[in-house]
Amino acid sequence: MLQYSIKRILMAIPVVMFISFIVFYIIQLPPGDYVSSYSAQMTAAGEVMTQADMDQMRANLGLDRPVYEQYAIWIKKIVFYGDFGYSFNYNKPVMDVVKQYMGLTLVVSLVTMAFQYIVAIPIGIYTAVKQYSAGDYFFSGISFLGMATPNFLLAIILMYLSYTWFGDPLLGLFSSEYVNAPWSMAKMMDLLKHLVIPVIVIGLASTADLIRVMRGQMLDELNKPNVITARSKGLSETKILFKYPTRAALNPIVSTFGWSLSSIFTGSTITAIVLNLPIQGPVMYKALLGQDMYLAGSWLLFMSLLTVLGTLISDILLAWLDPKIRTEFRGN
Amino acid sequence: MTTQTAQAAQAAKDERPLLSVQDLKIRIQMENGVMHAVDGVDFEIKKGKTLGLVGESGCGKSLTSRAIIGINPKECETTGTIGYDSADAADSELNLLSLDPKGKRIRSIRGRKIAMIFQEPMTAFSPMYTIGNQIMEAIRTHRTKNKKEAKKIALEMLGKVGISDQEKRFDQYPHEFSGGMRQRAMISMALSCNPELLIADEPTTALDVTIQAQVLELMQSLQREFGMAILLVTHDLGIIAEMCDEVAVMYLGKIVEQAPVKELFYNPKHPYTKGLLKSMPRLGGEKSVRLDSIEGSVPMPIDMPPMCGFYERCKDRIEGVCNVNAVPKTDISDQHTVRCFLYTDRPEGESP
Repeated sequence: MLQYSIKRILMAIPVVMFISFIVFYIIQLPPGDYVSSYSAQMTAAGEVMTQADMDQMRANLGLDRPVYEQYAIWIKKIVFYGDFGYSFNYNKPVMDVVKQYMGLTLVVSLVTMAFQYIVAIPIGIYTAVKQYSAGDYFFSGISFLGMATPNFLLAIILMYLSYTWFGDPLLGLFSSEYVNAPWSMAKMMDLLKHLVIPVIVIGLASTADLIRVMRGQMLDELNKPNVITARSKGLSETKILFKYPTRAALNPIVSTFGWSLSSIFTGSTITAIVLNLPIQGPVMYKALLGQDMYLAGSWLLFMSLLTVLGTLISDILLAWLDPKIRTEFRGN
Repeated sequence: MTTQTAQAAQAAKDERPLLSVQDLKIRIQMENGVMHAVDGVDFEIKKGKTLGLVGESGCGKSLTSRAIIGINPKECETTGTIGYDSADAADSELNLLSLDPKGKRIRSIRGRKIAMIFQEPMTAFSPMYTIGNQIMEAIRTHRTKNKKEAKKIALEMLGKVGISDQEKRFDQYPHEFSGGMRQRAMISMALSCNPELLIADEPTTALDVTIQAQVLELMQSLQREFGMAILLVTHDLGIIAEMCDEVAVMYLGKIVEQAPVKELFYNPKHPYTKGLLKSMPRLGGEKSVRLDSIEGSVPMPIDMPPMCGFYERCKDRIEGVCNVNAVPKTDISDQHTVRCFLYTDRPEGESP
């Protein structure tokens, strides 16, 4: 098991390196660079940048060198100094921008993920056990709606409802009096209150999806002969349900764990813009628009790292859950 | 001969049957009508004896065997009586069918008094847990809550079914066992609570022939040791001949012929039984001669008019009799019954 985990981690390293190069290359692809978008901004503001000014700026920022050289410098700094470069937009090191948003981004993502699994798994089990009951139709209907409704629309509807019912659209993650306040119980409660809408909006589609997957898996498992065997041994229905079909149905859910983390990250951008959330989505969006290449590159790199990490975690979890896979590495 | 029958009659009087199924009917609501999957089945199993239930796929034999412990899906609407008479006073003269299939009462019978083994030991075990875990589960449900004691019993049972190196095997998963080993483990699980009746639903169908013989032999020796009765569901007449005291031949949800095993093999009455026996390969038979087969296939028992289910395929059918009346049960002797108009005194039959 340990050997397998180490092997998987080592295998992840070249994958991440490869991704980092692709990411850097793609960010370079669109015509123009930060300097040209900056000069456009300046022009709009009434100032004129000469070609010489622009060349000077490019040289300062190292943007006049070939792509591979820029990449090599960037990676070298990351590996040796933990320096991810400089964000032109924010005028501070990328790490500072990342630090500023990473905490809340993780909070929103992890809470959303927990929400998904906590809601979807029990409902999936319920709808499978009571297949074709009124409850099954109700939840299936809701989950189809959830899959079909665009996030931003739902965000607007919930904001409206929250405003008409509670007199507060619950924009952002904190009420204004808490934004700059130190952490306290009251701030925590305020955060939780503000998390309700984003979590529902961001998580609904994948929750709905997970419900369908869990239901399908459970229906498969409920009719397996091992359930009949368990019944013939005289076990109670509840014990059978949780020990056999539920346990087996969790495997495919666990194996998708890796993607769901990064899909929450990327999927939340529009919602975050609509709800004015101080998380990474809008930051990334702005960085891409402004060709703030080191910031965008670092975020993309973090996201791909998360995907790789998520896949790794789900592989290890799956190996731990599924005895067949476990035997396979014992064989190796 | 006469003394033998007299003795048998005496023995029958002494011993009430362990299980007596009367007028068992299982109906399943389908989209195009009601399927009479099991249609009025009666049989008895005596303590320590083996009854073979033989028939083609889809004739209702598995449903019948599962109905006894109430583990059919809820779509199966089951009526009739299943009398069970345990040696335990607490469980004597029960009608298993009247118990709530999810209730405690029937669960205390399942696994403890009546255990079951299945056709496919690979799928009948869950791939997620060790063999030991799954065997211990039955023991801990019925015999002892103590984990150590349960493990001891489980190891002992694994030894009894001829699995060596039990300690290691105990912690292995089903996929690490061979097919024959899995079925042995299945048997050890079923017998771990010392049941009075073992229902074996095609226990050797998924195994290859040499392993088949070993498993059957094992079942026989364990039957002698534990003194349990066996209901053996199979489509293999060879296994019936080897294992059973009595045989019931099922066709289309009905038992068409029932007799002691020798009687059935040497004096078959129903055209279906005769056909089955003729379709068995024999040692020393001509290779060039094709085996007899029964023409046609089993019809779906949906909205069947009162008639013999075998009518379409029967060589000896009587037009105007077999296809217009329900077939009554006829006694050939006091242990041999058949459902066929060829043997009724009134060929007109009885109205249903």
